[in-house]
Amino acid sequence: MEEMPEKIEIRQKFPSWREMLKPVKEFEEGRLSYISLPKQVDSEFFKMPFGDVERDFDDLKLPENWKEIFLDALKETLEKNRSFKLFMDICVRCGACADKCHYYIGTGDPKNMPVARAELLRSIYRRYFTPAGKLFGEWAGARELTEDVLKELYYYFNQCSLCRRCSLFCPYGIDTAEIVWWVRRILSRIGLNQRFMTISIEASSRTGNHLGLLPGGMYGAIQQGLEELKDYTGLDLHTYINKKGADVLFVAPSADYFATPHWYVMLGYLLLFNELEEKYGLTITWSTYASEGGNFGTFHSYEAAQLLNSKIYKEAERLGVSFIIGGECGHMWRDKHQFINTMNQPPKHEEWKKFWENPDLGELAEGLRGIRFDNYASGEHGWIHILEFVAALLEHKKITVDKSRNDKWIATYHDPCNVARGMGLIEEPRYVLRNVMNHFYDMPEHTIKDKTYCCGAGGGMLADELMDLRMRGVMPRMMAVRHVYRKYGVNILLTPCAIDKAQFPPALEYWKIPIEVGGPMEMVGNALVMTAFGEKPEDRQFDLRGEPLREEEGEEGE
Amino acid sequence: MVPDSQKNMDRKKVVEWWVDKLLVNYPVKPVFEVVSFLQEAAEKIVDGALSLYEGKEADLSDAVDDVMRFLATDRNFGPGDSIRLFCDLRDFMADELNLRTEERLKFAKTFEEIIFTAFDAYMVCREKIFELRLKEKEANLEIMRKIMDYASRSLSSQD
Repeated sequence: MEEMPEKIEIRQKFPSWREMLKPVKEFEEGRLSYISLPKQVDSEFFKMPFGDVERDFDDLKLPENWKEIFLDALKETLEKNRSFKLFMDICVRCGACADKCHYYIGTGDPKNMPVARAELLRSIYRRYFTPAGKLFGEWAGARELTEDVLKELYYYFNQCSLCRRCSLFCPYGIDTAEIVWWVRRILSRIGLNQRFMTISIEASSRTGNHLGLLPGGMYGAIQQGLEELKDYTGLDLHTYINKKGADVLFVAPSADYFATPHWYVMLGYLLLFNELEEKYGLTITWSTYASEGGNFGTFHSYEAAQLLNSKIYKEAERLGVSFIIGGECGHMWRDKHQFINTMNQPPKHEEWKKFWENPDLGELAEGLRGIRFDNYASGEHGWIHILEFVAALLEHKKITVDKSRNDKWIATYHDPCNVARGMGLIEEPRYVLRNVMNHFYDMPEHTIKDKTYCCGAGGGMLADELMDLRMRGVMPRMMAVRHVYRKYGVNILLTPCAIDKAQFPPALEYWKIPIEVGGPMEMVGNALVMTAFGEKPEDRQFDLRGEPLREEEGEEGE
Repeated sequence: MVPDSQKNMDRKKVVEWWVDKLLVNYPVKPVFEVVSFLQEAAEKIVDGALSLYEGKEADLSDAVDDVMRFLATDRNFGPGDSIRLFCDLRDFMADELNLRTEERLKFAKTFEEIIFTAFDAYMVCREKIFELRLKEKEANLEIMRKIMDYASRSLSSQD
């Protein structure tokens, strides 16, 4: 038994609340986001107030009446959103959220604790909107809104990926991500926008997708995918783009058209869609207008989110589809599951309405009868998640898979915040993976599912100038990956999120974990036996990366 | 031959003390994944430092590199602060080992190798951050190249 210490000392390492009210003056490179340039926020397609001025963090060039605009915007937000008002009043500073934030865990900066981050705004709220704050000032935890305070708000409210892990542990359910979202909107009213997210928002407003792809580029990418599949499978495949009268509209994150390892996932989609059409007659089309499932507006402001997601229902109506399938994207599912139907009217055309009166796939393709979307986690607003869809196809034995084709992979699965916490899609991806591969191992329970650690780059944090912050924010996730890498020899980290797929390769490299990154649909594509095309399980020679499926046999044979 | 005083060094105490120093900027201790990562590296460094002092071989580059991956991205520690943490460990271990002046000098001399390795590792980590930023830029350029390539091919196929 350990000896009792003679004296128990309680040391307060956390600064006092009055200390916390003082704005920081030093802004570290590696954590400070660049401010948007006029070409991103004053374009023909995306205009923000005071966006025509080129700003520097040392010289914000604020409009003269910035304080008045800020406080008016805060007042409007308080009046329109009861949850936001409640979040301003209800926090008891219990600290349950403190060590749940990846950016706090990663940086150790007290103001990165969700409670402290929100307090940066609450102190202003108290000063201008509560009697106690107006009377007693800092004694009541209130502070003046100054330019230094404004800089601090920009600095810390752009060090959050809106992953909502903190809200899971908050006894009151305070959603700090929502507070962050509103603060970013309020800052945008006075011309302070974060550059990385507005690059994508402007591109998406202009072209329909974050990459700024014009229709020819997207068409060419999909065509390239079909050519590669011909090489890997020997099959002549096709797909539809902008097809009127198709049964389904498919919307992927635009990174899937070009980036690696996203590309392999797109090949998986194409294989599945061909098999479903050939076998059951279900037609699925892509769209060059609704060519982006992701929505960087959901990190920036209500207006930007609404602008970007408006195109998808419009396109569903124009093409006359019955429902939408969404691809492997994280924040797309926060947007489509929680925002889209409150921001835009769902399609009103006949095919859509008729299908959702009795959402049985048999109404579109007789062979798929029995697959019903009534109780789907993702199905609420006419959208079905590709993995929930595949889980149903597997459960109903509508597709044939050969698990052994993925035998070279020992996989683990990262739950994207917005898919797991935002939508509750937790078991379906695991069900899919257990059915398409033999070697799948979860990371420790406290790091996955609804408690999943963040990738450290969502919410607009994938900017290269934030590389230091990203590498520290991802550290808890990387340590959990390291655990399964050592214990089970995991050699691939699978995730159905485009931002994860961009963030994890550098993160794994930095934290020295020599494994690959991919998406579940890549594994589905590998395992899927294209029976409708006469393919047999043993026929496939290459995986979707163009590598031999059975490396060891090949080497032994030589 | 290792003196008795060294055998009696409280390894657990030294490791815990140093990990606490590494996490000094955290008001609330981070999750155990982060702590255990540092603890594992700290144990190897403490053991390795003793081995070097005993004249045995010890390759500490990996463990030192692990600690530096952490420190090099901690903006509260500058390069000098990061190296100072190793000097602090050296002095604390020397105290815990109850080394006399001459032994202390010998220990400090052998520990120097670890400090030099740490400095190299810190530089490599900072370079790695910028290398990763560059790689991202290059990946974006590659995407742009593909966009132009595929678009021109799709146009020519329609001719």
